[in-house]
Amino acid sequence: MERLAIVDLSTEQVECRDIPEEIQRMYLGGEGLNAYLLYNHLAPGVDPLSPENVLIFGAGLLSGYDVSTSRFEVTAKSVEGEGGFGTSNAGGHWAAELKFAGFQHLLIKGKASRPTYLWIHDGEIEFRDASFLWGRDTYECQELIQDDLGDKHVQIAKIGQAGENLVRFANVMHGLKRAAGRTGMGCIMGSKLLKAIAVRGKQGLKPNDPERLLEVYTNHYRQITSTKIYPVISRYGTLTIFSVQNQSGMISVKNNQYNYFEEAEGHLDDEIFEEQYKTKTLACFGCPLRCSHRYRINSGPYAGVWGEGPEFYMMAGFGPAVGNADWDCILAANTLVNRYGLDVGSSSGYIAWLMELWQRGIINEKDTGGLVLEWGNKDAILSLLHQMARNEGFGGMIGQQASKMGEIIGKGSDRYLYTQRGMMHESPENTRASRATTLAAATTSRGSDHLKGRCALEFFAMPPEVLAKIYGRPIASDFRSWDGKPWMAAWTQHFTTIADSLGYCKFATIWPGSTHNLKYEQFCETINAVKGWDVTPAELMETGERIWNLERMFIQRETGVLREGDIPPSVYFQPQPLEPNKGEKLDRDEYDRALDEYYALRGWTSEGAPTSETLARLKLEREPSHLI
Amino acid sequence: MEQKTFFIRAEFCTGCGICQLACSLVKEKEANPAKARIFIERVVMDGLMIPHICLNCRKPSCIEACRRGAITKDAQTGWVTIDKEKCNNCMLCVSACPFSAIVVTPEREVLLCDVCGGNPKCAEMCPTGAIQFADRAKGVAGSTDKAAVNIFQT
Repeated sequence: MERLAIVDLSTEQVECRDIPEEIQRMYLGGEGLNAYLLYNHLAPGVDPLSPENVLIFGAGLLSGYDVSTSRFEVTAKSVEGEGGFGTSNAGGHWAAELKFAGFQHLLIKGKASRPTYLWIHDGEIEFRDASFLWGRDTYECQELIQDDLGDKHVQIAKIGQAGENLVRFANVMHGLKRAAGRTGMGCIMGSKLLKAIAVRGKQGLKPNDPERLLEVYTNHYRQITSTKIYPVISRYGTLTIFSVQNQSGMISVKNNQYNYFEEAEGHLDDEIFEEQYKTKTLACFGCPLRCSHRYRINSGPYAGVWGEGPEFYMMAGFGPAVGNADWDCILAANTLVNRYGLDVGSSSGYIAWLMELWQRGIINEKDTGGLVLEWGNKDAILSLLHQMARNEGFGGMIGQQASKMGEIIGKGSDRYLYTQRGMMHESPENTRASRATTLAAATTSRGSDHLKGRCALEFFAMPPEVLAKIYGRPIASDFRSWDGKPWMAAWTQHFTTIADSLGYCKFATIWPGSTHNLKYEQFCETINAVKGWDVTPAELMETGERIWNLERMFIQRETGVLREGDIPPSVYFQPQPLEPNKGEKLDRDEYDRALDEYYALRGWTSEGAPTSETLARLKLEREPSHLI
Repeated sequence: MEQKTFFIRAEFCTGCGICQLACSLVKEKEANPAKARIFIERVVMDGLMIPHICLNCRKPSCIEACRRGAITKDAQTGWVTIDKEKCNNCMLCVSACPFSAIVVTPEREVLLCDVCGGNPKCAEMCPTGAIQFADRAKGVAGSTDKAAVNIFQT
C-alpha cells in the first residue's frame, strides 16, 4: 500500500496514512497526487513563506518499478512570481529510495525551531539537528549527511545557501546536479528551516503481477534502447539540443535580442564537452539513458573545478543568453548554481536582463556596486551568482526581489524584463516561431515552462498522417502554422502531466521527439502489472486533464490571474532579427484566437476558467474533498 | 567445455541499478535492490559505482569457509551455487569472499547469484556492458583501480 507521511516540523510529529486506492487511480502519484494534497491541505490565501504553506514531496506512482521512472515532484504554493501553483521535479535516485523506505508522498508543514534534516529509513522518520549543515553548499551537505549517518548509499534532497537565504528562485537539489527548479521550492524549504531529507530503504515493492512486470520491464528497456534518439542522448545528454536550436535560429541571445549566436560555432557544442571535460557517465535509478556527466576543468582560471551536469538549459542560459561562448565559464557557473542550489533558468535570465540594461545605459557601476555587466563578462556572471546565493550586494537584491526589481530599478527597465506569471521567462527559450510549443509553454500552470510545453514533434515536419495517428486529430506539419496546434498543446500538457505523475522521465517517452519511445499504452502496461487495474490510454488522458484542471482551480483560488497570465513574454510579439527564421514573430490576434480555441477545447470560459460542466465531467466538482 | 562467468568493468557502470531491479524481480518477485544477488557499491558521491557479483572463482574461498557444505562448484559449468536447505546464514562465506560478492539481506539472509541457469538477466539488461557474462578464457574485466583514477581525468 502506498503511504503518505504528514510531517509537522513545528511539533516534530509524524502521521502516516495509507493513500486510498480511489485517490491513487484518480491522481496517480507525483505531480497529480501532490496537486490534490496541495488543494486539500493548504488553506486559501496564505503567505507562501509562512509556516502555513505546505511543501509536498511525491515519488511517481511507478517510481522504483519500471525503467526510467526515477522522478519525484516537489509542490507548494509558489514563492517565485505571483504565488500560484508551485511545482517542480527532478530525477536521480531519491524517488525510488523513498518508495523503498516505505513512503510515496511527504507533506511537510509548520516550521522547525532550529535547522533540521529528516532521516527517513524503512518506515521510520527522524528529526535530526542540521546546525552543522547550515551554511554549507549542496555538495558539502551530501558528504556531511552520509558521514553523519554512516551510510554512503543514503539519497538526499537538500537546499544550498540559496534556499537558506530565501532566494526566490532557489531549488531543491538532489545529488550533485538533480534540480527541482523554478517556483522557489528550495526557498520554501529554507523558510521552514528544513535543510535536507535523507532517505534509505530496503523494503521491497510488491507488484500485483511480478511475472507480467518483469516482461513489461524487459520490453520497455528494449524499446527505449532501440530508438534512434538513444545513442545520442546516452552519449551527449541534452547538450545535443544546443546546436539544433542555435542553427535553426530558435535560441535566446543576449536577453532575446537575437535568435542565433555565431560565436558559439566551433566553441559551444556537445562534442567539445565530451572531448575536453567529460570524466564519467552516470544515470538515474533504473534508466538506460545515462544522460548525466561528471566533468572537470583541467586548465585556465577555473582549473580543478568539477561537477555534474550540465544540460542544454545551462549551456544556453549561461552561453548565448548572456553573450558568452566560453565552455569553461559555463561549467564553472554550473558548479556554482548546483552547489548554491540556484535555478539555472531564472538566475541566468536575470543576469541577461541586467546585461541588457547595462548595454542600454539604464544601469551603471553605481547601481551594480562596481560590477561591469558587459555581455559575456565572466567575472561579473560568477560574481552575481555568489551575491544572489549569499544575499549580498546587487545580486543579493535580485535574489530577494526577483521580478519586482523592474520597479525598483525603474527607468523603463521593465520593458526588457520578460516574465510570465511574475516569473522570469526561462532564459534559453525562444520558441516564438513554433506555435504549439509557445502556446503550450505559456499556458502551463507555473508559466513559461518548456518541460510541460515543448511540443517537440512540431519541429520535424512530420507527415500529417503520422501526426494524426499520435494526436488523434489533424495537426499541421509546419511549425509556423496554427492549424491543430491548440489541441497539440493541450495533448502535450496532459501527456507530460501523466509522465510526471507516474515518475517517468520525459526523455524515455515520445515527448522529446522520438515517436517509438514510451507512450500511454506502455504506461498502462506498467500500471496494470503493478496495481492490478485495467487502466486504458483514454482513462490516463482524462486523468491528465483532471490534474491539469485541479491545478487551474488552485491558480484561480490563489491568484485569480487566468487569461492575462497565459500570454507569452512581450518579446515574442516582436520579429526575430536574424536568419534562420528571420522575421518570425507571434501575431497577437492569431495568438488570441488560438487561446480561444484552446480554452474551448478544454471546456473553459473565454476568460480561462473551467466551467462547472467541465469540473463535473472530470469529477472535480466536490474539491476540496478531503479524502486523505 | 567452455565455462562462462561474469566480467565486471566498473568504469562503464552508470549506477542505474537496472541489474538489481531485474534480479530482484526474477528471484524475489518484488522490486527490491536490497534483495538482489548483485550489489552496486557507490563511492565518490555516487561518481564511481562498483558492481559486486559472484565471479565463480576457480578455487572459491567461500566453499572452504562453509562448514555445512552448502556451497558447491559444478565441475562442468564452473558455477558456484548455494544450497539454501543446508545454509544457516552464518555468514562465514560472506567474510571469506574476496570480492564482496555474497549479499546479506536486511533480514540477515545470505544470497548468492546462480547465474539464472546460464542466462543472467542482469547482464542481458546492462545498458553499457559493465556486467558481461562470457567465456572464462575470453572475457575482459576492467580493473577497479583504473576506473577510480579515471573519474577525475578527462
